[in-house]
Parts: sequence; C-alpha cells; structure tokens
Amino acid sequence: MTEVLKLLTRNVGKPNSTHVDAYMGSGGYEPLMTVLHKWTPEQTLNEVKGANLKGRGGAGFPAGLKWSFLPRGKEVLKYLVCNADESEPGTFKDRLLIENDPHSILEGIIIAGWATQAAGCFFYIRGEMPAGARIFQKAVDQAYAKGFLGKNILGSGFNFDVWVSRGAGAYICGEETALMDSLEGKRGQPRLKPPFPAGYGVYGVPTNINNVESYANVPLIIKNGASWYTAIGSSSAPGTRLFGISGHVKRPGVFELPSGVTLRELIYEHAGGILGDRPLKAVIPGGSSVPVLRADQIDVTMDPDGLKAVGTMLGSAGVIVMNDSVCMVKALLNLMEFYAHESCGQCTPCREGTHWLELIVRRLEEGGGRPSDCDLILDVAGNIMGRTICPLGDAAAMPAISFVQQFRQEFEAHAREGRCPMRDVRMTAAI
Amino acid sequence: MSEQDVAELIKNPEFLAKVDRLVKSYPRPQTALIPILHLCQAELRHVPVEFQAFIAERLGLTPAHVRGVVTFYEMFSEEPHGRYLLQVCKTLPCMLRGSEALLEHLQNKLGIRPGGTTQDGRFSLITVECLACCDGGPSLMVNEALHKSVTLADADRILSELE
Repeated sequence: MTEVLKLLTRNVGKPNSTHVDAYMGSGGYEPLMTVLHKWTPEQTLNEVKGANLKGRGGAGFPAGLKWSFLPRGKEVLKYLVCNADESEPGTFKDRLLIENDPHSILEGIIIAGWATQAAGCFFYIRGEMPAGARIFQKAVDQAYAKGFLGKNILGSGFNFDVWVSRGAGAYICGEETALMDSLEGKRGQPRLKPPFPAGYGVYGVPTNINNVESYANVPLIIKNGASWYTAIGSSSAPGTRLFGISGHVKRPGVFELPSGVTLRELIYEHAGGILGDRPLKAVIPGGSSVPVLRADQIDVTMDPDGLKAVGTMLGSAGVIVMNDSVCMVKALLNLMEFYAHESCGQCTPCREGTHWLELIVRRLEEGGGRPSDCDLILDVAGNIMGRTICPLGDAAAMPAISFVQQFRQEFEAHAREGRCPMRDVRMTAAI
Repeated sequence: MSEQDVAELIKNPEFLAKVDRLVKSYPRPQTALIPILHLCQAELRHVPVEFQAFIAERLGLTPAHVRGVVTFYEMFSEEPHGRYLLQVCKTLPCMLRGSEALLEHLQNKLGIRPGGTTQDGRFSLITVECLACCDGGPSLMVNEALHKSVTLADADRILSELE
C-alpha cells in the first residue's frame, strides 16, 4: 500500500495546530523569512513555476504560470484571492486545512504576495463554514501580531494585508469571477472572459486567484525546493493530493497521497473498501462535475493523464463511491437538482437546460419516463456544453451525459417498466 | 414587527460599531455588504427590506441592488426563520450515507416539511446543498454548529439539548 505522506497534513491532529506558536514551533514561517530576506520576488516566482504546482481547485492550471500573468512591479496595485469557497459536492479537503492548519495557507498566501508584489489577499470562505472563518481570522490576527502581515514585514519593506470575507450560500461563487463580484458586494454572477482576472479582477484591479490547497503547497516548495517537489507523485502533476473519499466506503475521509495512486487502492485500501461489503457500482473520481466511472474502470492512476484515459478528470480529487444498492437514475437526479438549484440564471442554456435535465431525470425515476428520454438527456446536455459564460453548465452536462452513457440500460429500464426497477432495494446507509 | 426590530437594531450603538468596523476593514466599503447582511441575519433571523434600505444608504448603494444580493444568496432570507435553523445536507455524498432517513425523521418529529417552522417558532427545517463535510454524512447544521454522521438517535439528542 502506498504510504500516506504527511506534507500538507503535517500539522493536522497536533495540539494547538491552529496557533501561530505551534506552527512556528515546527518550522513554520521560516520559508517566508527565507524569501523576504534572501530571495527576490522573481526567484520566488520561478521556484514555484519550476515546481510545476498544478492548481488544486479543479482546473489544474499551473499556479506559478498564473502568478506570472500579473503585471510586474510593486508600483502596480494588485490583489490576490484565496478561494476557500469549497462547495463542489464530494470535496471537503480545504475544510481540513482551514480548520486544522490555517497558518500553512496563510504563509503560502504571503509568499505568493511577495512573489507577485501584491498589496494584499482576500480570503473568501463559504458562508456555511463559520468556524473556519473564525479560525482563519484568528490566524490572520496572530500573523499581524507577529509582524508577518502589515507594513514592512520583518524589516523587508514589503507591505501585505489579508482580508477575510464570507460567502453566503452560492455554489457559483466558487467560480473565480463570480467570487470577485461577490467580494464587490454583488450577486455572484460569472463575468465574461476576457478580460481575465490577471488584468481585471477585484474592483477591476489585476488579481490572481488560487485554491486553499494550492497556497498551502507553497511553503513546502520554498522550504524543500522545486526539484524535491517534482520528484513526488506523477510528473505531469507533482506533489501530494488531498484525496477526499465519501459515499459507500468504510472509512470516508481525506487521505494525503502522492498523485498517481490508483483509484482501486484509494477505495479498497485507504478507505477500507465498500460499505455493506456489497459490490462496487460506480465512482465519481473528482467532484460531482466530472464524468462517472463504472466499477470495471478503477484500475487507473489518480492524476490528470490516468483519468483522461478513461474519459474523466481529476477535478478537485473528491471521490464519491456508490455500491450496487444505488439507483443511478436517482443518483443523477440528486446531482441535477443540485445544478438546477445552483445555476446563477445568467446564461439561457444553463438556466433552462439544468432545469429541464432535472425534470427529465425526475420523470424517469418517478415512472413517467419515455423511451426517448436517454437521447433527450444527451441532446439537452450536449446543447449546454460549451455554450455558457462559466463552467457550471459543463459541470451539469458532464455527469448527465456520462451517467446515461455508462448506465444506459438502467435508464432505459426505468422508461420501459414505468417505474424504478430498484425501488425495493434498500440503499446502504451509514447510520 | 420587522420595522420595529430594524428601528431598534440600527439605533443599537454596539451593532452600529460592528457595522462601522466592517465598512472600514476592507479596501472598499462595498465588500462589507455581505458581512453586514450576515450580521443582520444573525440578529433578526432575516434581512427585512427596512434594513436593506438602511444599509443601502450607508454604503451608497440602491435598495434594489441590496435586495438583489439578499435574494441571490441562500443564507439570507426576507422572512424570519425559527430560533434554531436545522439544515440537512441533501447532496449525493450525504444521501449515500442516509440523509433521506434523517430528513424524514426530523420532519416526523417536528411535524413540518422542509421550508417550514414549528408553531412555537423554535425550529425551522430546510435542506441545503453540499456542506463540504462529505466524510461526515449525513451532516446536519443547527444554526452555526455542524454535526457529523448524525444517526436518528443523535438527532433526537441534539434537538433535546436545545431549549
């Protein structure tokens, strides 16, 4: 079994892990001191670029490259954003870091601030994590008290602030430009790109945005070097990943493993196998938006290339496991309800399409389905794909298309029998 | 009722100091809007239009803009909810671990459907989308307290511990 690596999770479970003194006691903020006293911003940026740190929010864009898109020089006002709006169903890794090791995120943010010469960072945390917001605010206050934030940080002449802001219940605000509108006190509706945030972000100021886990990797890279980092896990997406496993497994949780571990190992060894000791039926490998896999497709590596080979994506590395007690039409209905509810309503294909997908899948599940409904789902979903301002439309269409393609017989049986063929099967539960 | 509550709230020096602190704590005041709406929602258990008008003026926004924001975000409501807001996560990972049974149990116990409030005004029951606590499914948030892997017995205990 692949050994669990304690890099990002090195402080999780330690006493007082959220306190700055505990964090500093195990070498915390030393990487920040290194860059402020010994490295130029350019060197710092190049080290992160060299580490090939892939974004951990879902899209996997190289973080260092993204930083380099910002205009250079400290005379240009720039902001950073930390996206802590963790809302993708099946994803719960950032919560672990925020609630247990806020300073590792904060240190990564400040180092990114130095590398980009930004004025400060907005930490946007979802409204449903009030405890996390309090913990992070406390970490920020402690960092100010220690001189890691504010004016002339550690005598370097570098000024940097962090502002904590809460969302208020909207999945769409995890999309980077919707998040920025939300930070501006608006409805969170995605902006048309270009212009990209690096040119026009919060308040129209050039802005760089990364996920919580992405920032948390930065101090490790600075401390150990880019070549150390690229030697861990898959070469195309190095480092460890915080894999979150939920659903029908015996030990759900977050497991820190090198990228490239197999999906089978994750499910059967780390997560303890299938709940109820029943056969595996389906797995969503990277948050609810990515295409679903069948049980015979889990001998794949959990990295972008491995999952691409079976037609899906690593996304947020949130793995949702379903055993054979699950009706796939019912599971898809649940997801379609989610996307219809969370569509911001701005683009017609998404606003209308997600609603119709929910209605069609619902009538199949409730016994009113028609033989043509499988094709209708594919048609509606196909007409959403690529036709919206932001990826929410695709995020709804991909599960719809893949559920029908992977489990078509089950969908057709619903229409043929005029009822759910699994209505008498009791779905495995954990309680 | 709302009018009076709002009138009292916006005269309360402690509350106003909190609002001022928020307005000054961000690079631009508009960023304070959502945090301030959270304050009001926490105090009054809703954000009445009278408060929307107050805060619009304070931040130099139109009341229509503020209402647009209030109605966009799930955590703000224009109608007050009960003293305890029971939020059952209904999204797939929690469903796979038993959220349907938990919701049904709470409905039966309280005699209300999702969206409803008990007659004594103590409990409101709603379903919510993924709370990013999928390993602790089924999850239940009561106001700001998150409960994980909630069995039906846990739910009974949680309710009995609330006044």
